[in-house]
Amino acid sequence: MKCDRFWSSLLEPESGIAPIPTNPTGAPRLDRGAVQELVERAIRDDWARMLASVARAAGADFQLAEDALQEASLVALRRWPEDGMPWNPSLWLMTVARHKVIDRLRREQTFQRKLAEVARELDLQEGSTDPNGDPPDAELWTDDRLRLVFTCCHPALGLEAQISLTLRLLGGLTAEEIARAFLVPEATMAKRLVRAKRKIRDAGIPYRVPGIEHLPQRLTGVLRVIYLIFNEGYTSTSAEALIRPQLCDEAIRLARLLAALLPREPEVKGLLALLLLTHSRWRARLDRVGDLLVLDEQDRSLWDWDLVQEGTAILDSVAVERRPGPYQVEAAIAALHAQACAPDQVDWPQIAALYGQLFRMTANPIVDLNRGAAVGMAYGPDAGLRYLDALDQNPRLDRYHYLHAARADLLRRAGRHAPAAQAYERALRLCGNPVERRYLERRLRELRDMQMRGEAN
Amino acid sequence: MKYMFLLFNEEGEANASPEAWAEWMHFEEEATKRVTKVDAAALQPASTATTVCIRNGETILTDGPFVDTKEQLGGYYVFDCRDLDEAIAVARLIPWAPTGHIEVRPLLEQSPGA
Repeated sequence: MKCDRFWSSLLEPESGIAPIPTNPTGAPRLDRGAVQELVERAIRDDWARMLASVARAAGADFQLAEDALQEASLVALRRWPEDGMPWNPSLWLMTVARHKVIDRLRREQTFQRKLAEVARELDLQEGSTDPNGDPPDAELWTDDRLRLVFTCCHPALGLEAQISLTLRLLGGLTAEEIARAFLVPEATMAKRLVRAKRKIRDAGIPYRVPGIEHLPQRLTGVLRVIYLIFNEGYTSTSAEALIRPQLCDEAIRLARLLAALLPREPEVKGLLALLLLTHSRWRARLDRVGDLLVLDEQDRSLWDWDLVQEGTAILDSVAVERRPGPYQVEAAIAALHAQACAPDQVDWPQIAALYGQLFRMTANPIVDLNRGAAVGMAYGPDAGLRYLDALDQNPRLDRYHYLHAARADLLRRAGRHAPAAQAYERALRLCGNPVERRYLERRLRELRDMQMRGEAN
Repeated sequence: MKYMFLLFNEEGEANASPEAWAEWMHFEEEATKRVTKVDAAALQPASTATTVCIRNGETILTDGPFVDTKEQLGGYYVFDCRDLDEAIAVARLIPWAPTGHIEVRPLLEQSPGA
């Protein structure tokens, strides 16, 4: 009975049909446990929409917006068991929260200053403030989340603050969850979030989608934040667990949202495709004891082929637009790996060419390093080693363990075991991730065993 | 001659107390008995600052105040801007942006000097 009532109450009324009354005669009251679950679900599933909209009423005071949503949940817990469920719980919570914000602003000294902004916003929202009335214009909700993205990733905030804010305000993760993901004390993360929210409010960071002249540059910053969130989940720099799927899932969710909000930006789809294709391999990336497996050691049946298919389809759809960008190129590289039925079927020459293209776009020395590794796979270890030797002159790369690991792998493939072992040792001295270290140690052990057997023969 | 007085201190909530406020009002009264006040303002805390510079044609923003011992304060402007984006756009136009740094920090809206 309760279940029926819950699901029907979630359905938005079709046009022309009156909204479902909140408490039809004789309807059973909901018990508090069920209501609590519904409130939590609405907050979890619709967090970004609600917060984005409430924040607009709050004049981009995100602390105020969060507090108001919190208060609205408490009101819901009190009232829903008595009054029955509103047909749209999220809209109800959002509307109550907006009223809380306005009440609070009225009481505050800053009211005068914000009055004009709020009044204007309320005009726009006219007709949507009744929780049981018509749903607000879908466009308005959409716009608010886009404002939220660009505000969280504003370049006047530090990169760490941008990442944390995006996870909190857009992803709905708690300070504790973000702290755990980034291995910092919860108090540190809470302080970082409070400081960032204060800066937005006090420094006048606008709650706005940037104009067309700044959009490309600002979008690059937003995509970078999502990419870094994914990377932090995929290859933690220090955590014992290499893969923290929650961060990867969250990054993918954010990329999906952004792709829906900005359908005309090919790089957004490029990033989404890249994340899906990379994430498709996560189950195959570690062996039973949690050690790292490189691509050609992975069990391809463990790859998530739904993700591969989705990522490839998105990449195909955007590639025809012929507006290439770094994320599309990187996604193409990931797609080529996924398309090969076996390690020896990988189209390495094309991958090497794509890395060349990516390097021309980004001038990132690490991309050049990957190109060297791909050249080695495409045209033989010696060709790859010659390429890496040229890179060795770059002092920044010399301190980067991947350079030495890449050289070690090529030397091993070329059968030059002693210099390969030296390169693995060098990589080990520079590598901080325990799981990656175990991979390097395993390779080193294998080489030493081979050397010993060679000497014994 | 006009002189600029640059005020430095540790930041703290105590500065916003009614007692502190009264002290500032008292100071202004005393000072203006002797000299003419040209302009004054209190700033928001340093955590609201954004430092702007242009290098190789690229605008670089840093979250926080300007910290460098080699470059010295050489002047100031106060502009009324719509928001931080507009303020940053103006900072980019300042002739020192490509060689030095511009710290952009909002004024406290209600301060004794304002």
